[in-house]
Amino acid sequence: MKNYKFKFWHYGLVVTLIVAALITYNLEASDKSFFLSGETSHGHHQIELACTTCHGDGFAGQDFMQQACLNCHAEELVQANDSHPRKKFLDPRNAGLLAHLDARLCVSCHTEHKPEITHEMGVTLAGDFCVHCHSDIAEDRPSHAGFGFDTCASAGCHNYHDNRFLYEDFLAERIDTPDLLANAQLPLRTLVIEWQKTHPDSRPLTAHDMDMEIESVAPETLTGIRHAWADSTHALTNTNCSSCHVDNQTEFTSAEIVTMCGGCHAEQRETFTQGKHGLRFSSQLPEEFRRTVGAMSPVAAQIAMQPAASTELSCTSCHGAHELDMRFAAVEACLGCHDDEHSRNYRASAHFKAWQSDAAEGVSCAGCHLPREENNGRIAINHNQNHNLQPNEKMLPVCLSCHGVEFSVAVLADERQLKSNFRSPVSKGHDTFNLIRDRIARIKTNK
Amino acid sequence: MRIRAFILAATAALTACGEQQGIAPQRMADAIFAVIEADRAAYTNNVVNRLQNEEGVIKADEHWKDTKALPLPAQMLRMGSERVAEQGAGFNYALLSQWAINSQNKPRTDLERQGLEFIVENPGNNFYGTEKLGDTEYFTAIYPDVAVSPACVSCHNEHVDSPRKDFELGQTMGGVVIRFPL
Ligand code: HEC
Repeated sequence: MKNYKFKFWHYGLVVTLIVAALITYNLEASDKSFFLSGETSHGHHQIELACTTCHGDGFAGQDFMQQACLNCHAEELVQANDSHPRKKFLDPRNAGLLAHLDARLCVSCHTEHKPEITHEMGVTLAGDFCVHCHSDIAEDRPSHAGFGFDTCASAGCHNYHDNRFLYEDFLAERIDTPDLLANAQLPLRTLVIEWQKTHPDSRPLTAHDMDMEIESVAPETLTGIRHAWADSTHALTNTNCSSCHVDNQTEFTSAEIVTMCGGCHAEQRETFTQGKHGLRFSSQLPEEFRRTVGAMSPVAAQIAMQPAASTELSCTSCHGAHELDMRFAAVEACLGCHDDEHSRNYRASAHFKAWQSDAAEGVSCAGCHLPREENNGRIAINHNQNHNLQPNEKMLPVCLSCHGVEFSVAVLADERQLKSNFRSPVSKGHDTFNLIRDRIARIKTNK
Repeated sequence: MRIRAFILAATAALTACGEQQGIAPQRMADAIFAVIEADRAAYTNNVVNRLQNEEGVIKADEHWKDTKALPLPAQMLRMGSERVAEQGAGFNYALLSQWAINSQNKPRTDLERQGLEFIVENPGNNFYGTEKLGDTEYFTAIYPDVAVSPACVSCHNEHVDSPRKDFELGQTMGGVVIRFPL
């Protein structure tokens, strides 16, 4: 053994084995990060290590991947009344079109891990993709002759999927509305009223009703908690300490908080875990990923955040554990982390001034980004803050609560307005309306 | 031995039957059309016409989701056809017209153009043909869709997107195209 001579290939073998061991360890026992084929888009970066969710065992085919997209996004596409659903492309008369662009598959337009070709909305095609099928548009719409090949979806006129608030009959019905409505107001929340209706005999709890005493907490802190809770909607709706502090548990992980709140607030949990705040807790992700990767934090965000913001995102990061202060949750909580131009300009905006003076037309961050949606006569808050963000015409129903349609479409299509938080001078009208003004007049006379 | 012979004979007989049972494409298309046409007429008369025109309970509207109204008969037909396509039922159908309100309903293949022209020029006749789309050979049948009620005519003539404003009662407004691979 002493005289054994190491040959060059022996070193080669050892190095190969070490590298192989490292790679195998990363794949089987660690986070699989060696296997990321390229930077993940802003939509998926926080869950990029949940590989199996999209790729199955690594050898899963196209059908599996397509189903993976649908598992998370199908419902939203149905809600969006998708203008280009897969089912429209199954007729063989479209075979010729599919040869240009296979619109039956999500990945034809949205390829992941390709940062160098990923545009807005996660689209990885060149901006002229509409032209593949609609190059003859000027035959039906002479007004569209000579339009740039990339203008269809870039100017607040059309979207590929969601055109619910951009079709002509919709615009025609609202065209005469003034820029600011007389009865400008967002829908009022109804959750507590609903609860009171179904619990007519319930009395609000007071500080004396608190059903938990703990020695490990300093008396002053406990007094603070007692008062915060007694003033909260939880005390109002008969939710005592023990409802959440089961078995006197006082320390909770973010995952535990989301699960616990979701026990009563299932809809909120569902929408929270669909958006970027709560995505990592989505029930579509593998159990192991949720357990090991933990909550999202502003530190991991791709957009500008306050340097000091490092909390984990769960229900309590905005609502607090005991206060449930809706005004805090709707503005201060957001601005505690978000530090982009739009957010920084909010406190100088007309929306904020009205919010601060508690006027009916006050608009908080949440007013627009966590929209109040009607469902069967109830107004519920959609906690998926991405729901109406991109493309931003999805936000029109919120804007239209207070503003006219032409004003709203024009403002949403104006990049400067978005950055300045709507403090830039409003340009009169929007080109889309000039193109269709005579058509809208005709639609209105036909009605 | 006898059992094996019996099995062989039975298999041969069944195979032969199977071959003979194949329905001629035209009969098959005619049968499918009868169902589509019956559903279209039933929906138009017993749902839309009754509730909208006779009882005035609810309207039919193109944007039926937003206006909480009934889907138009043409949209109802398309919902059915998209569902059939999603299920991979082995055939497809669509309501098309050379004067389509929805430009996606304009003829797209040469045979569609030829067939729609034929049924307009030869009232009461259907059109049958074969065509190759992609790599597949299809049997294509086209049946006239006639303006059976004044509502067809007035709605199409007044619609902003309608390229034709002079439809009259009884005229062929378009056709149902049924297609399956050969
Ligand atoms: C209230 C208005 C209205 C009525 C009534 C109506 N249609 Fe239509 N029809 C439409 C609209 C809108 C479309 C386009 C639907 C689509 O594909 O989005 C259409 C589509 C069609 C098409 C397919 C080609 C195209 O124009 O897009 C045919 C053919 C057609 N209708 C025939 C008829 C006949 C026949 C009747 C009477 C039985 C009738 N329609 C009644 C509005 C109407």
